[in-house]
Amino acid sequence: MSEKIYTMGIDVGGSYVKGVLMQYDHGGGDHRLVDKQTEKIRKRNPKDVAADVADMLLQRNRLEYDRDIAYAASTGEGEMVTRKTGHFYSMTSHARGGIFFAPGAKTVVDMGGLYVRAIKVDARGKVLDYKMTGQCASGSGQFIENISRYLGLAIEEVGEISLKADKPEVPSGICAVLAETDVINLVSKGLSTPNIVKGINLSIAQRVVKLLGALNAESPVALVGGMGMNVGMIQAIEELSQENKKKQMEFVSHPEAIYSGAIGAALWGGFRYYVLRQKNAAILAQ
Amino acid sequence: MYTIQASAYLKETMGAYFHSFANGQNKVAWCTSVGPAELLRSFGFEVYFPENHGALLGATRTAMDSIPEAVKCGFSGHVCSYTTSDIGAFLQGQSPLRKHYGLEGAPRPDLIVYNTNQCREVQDWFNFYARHFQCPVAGIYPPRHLDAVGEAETSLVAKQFKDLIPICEQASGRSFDPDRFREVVRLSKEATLLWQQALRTAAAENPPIGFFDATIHMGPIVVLRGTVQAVDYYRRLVGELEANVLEGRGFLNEPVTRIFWDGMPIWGKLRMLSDLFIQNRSAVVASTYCNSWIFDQFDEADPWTSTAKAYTEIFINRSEKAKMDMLVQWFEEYSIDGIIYHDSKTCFNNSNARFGMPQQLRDRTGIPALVVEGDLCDLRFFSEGQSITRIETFLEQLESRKVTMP
Repeated sequence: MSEKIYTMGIDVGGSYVKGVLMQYDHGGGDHRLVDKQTEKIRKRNPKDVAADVADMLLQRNRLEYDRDIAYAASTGEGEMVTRKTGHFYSMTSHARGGIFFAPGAKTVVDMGGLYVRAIKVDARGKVLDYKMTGQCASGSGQFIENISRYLGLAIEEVGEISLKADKPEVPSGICAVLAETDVINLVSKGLSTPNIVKGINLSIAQRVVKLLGALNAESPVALVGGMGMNVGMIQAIEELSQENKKKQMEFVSHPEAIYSGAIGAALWGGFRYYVLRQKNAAILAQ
Repeated sequence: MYTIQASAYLKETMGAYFHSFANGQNKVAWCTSVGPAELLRSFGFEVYFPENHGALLGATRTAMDSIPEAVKCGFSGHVCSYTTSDIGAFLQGQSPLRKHYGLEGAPRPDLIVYNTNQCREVQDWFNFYARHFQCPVAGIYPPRHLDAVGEAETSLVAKQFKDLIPICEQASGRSFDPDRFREVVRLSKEATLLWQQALRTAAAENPPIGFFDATIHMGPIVVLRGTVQAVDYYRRLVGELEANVLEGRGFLNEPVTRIFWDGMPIWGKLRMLSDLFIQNRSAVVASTYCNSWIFDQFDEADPWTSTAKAYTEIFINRSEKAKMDMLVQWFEEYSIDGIIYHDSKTCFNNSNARFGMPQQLRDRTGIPALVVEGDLCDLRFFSEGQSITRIETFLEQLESRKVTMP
């Protein structure tokens, strides 16, 4: 028999706080994304931003935290979330969120503000293995944000504009600072904005494809995290992946990919809620 | 809250060590941290260790202010940041010794001795000061990267130690006293075995000391080897830690995961990293770094050969094969679940993840590995946000191997 509860997931990342309200379907498995909210941290205290995100979700849906939310789960920088039932590790949450967006995915690639992480998962979203990019910021979403600011683009435009490229040039992939210098050079050489942006997407996509190879990843691959919404990035990953004739991969993206961590946390929260309820019932029955 | 009570005595012991330079009565020798300190002490030198000063500059996060000064006079910002921060601070006339111990800076040397058993950087670092102070300098050049240290290598190094005698006699104004040398080696051995005993308490289920605390409590074994003060300090520390083990008290009770740290500490981030591991219910229980000051080969009955062997056999001076054998032994001794390799950008010799060791050791032991990029002193090479994510991800994966997810 199916029973539905509200759970909340708050994902505090390096650049944004992402929050979701989920309807968790215990028994039926028909979980639903009810509402979502993203706030850029900017120079604010992430703790306040996380509290604001939760309040906005509650108010918009006319819910009260104590009365209506069965489980509030944090992930990412979880200690920043003061009002919560429990915390879930970031990789665990993104893996589960990836499966929500792409049921049947065997690999989830979490492309966040600070890193890219390729995760092998089972059907439940349990992590089997993973690989991450190195420390350099040139493989991160933050790097794309910096470059888009330099090029005078809104971050939302980066994906679409990349699709218009006809002759992209890939900047240095070794270091964000060198890559930024390369971009300045490309601008002064007169290279078009679409070709510069596509080149940057390709440089990060190269890292993603390498990670997938190192992980011996299996298809289909769910692309999640902030960069998972960048259609230009997805195109770049698909193009580079197709060059590997031996192993063709299917990539699945989703326009709400930035919420994968928050969704995963909310879903694990629902799961844990029922596990705890069952345990408590067993104790009371003794 | 768990604290190590001996910390107060540590402060006193280290304070007394630094104040011993203040009166300026004794001759001063500068020595590398894994150099022939026992021989120097037998001549009555007060022994000063520039690496300790480098660690202080790192821990006080002042290294980034001083490194550019060394770069200005020709040192690359990519060579050992102990070297560049120490030389830079010297050129600036700055030192954390002033604030913490009331010293103006490093004591003026009468003799400088280095041992390249750790790296070749020490040669250029120490020669910089020899040129500046116009003081005698001598180097020990042991064979490097050996699977095993045999008689030939030991004899070679013992001869180099003996060749120091006339240099030390001239600089100290004293004749070599073999009995005094034996006594210093005996004291050094006693302290080093106590230090080993202290570290081994971390094998307990509730470890009473971990890597981050050990990097602080190792002060006397680095700077006071061969003295009664070091023996006294470690007797007290071992007593306390062993009592804690018996009572089941540790800095983290029943840790979910037990980690081995390879490579240099990130001095300016010790507290942050220590908190991060504890938050994730993980105990960093052992390290190559802290184990590098265990010289159980020391033998006062054969001081030349035994010190030559001990200083040549240290982890950093060995082949990949020998290093991996040592790591496997430590993994077993401390029930390790995972190893973190600190790939230190300016310390090539103490970064072991560059030639496939993590993969080889994982194949051999099944123990997962993580490489964290950073540096001993120069925090410009360390990304806190990215490192936290990497470490948390690693611990999360280790934990999931041990605990079933809900």
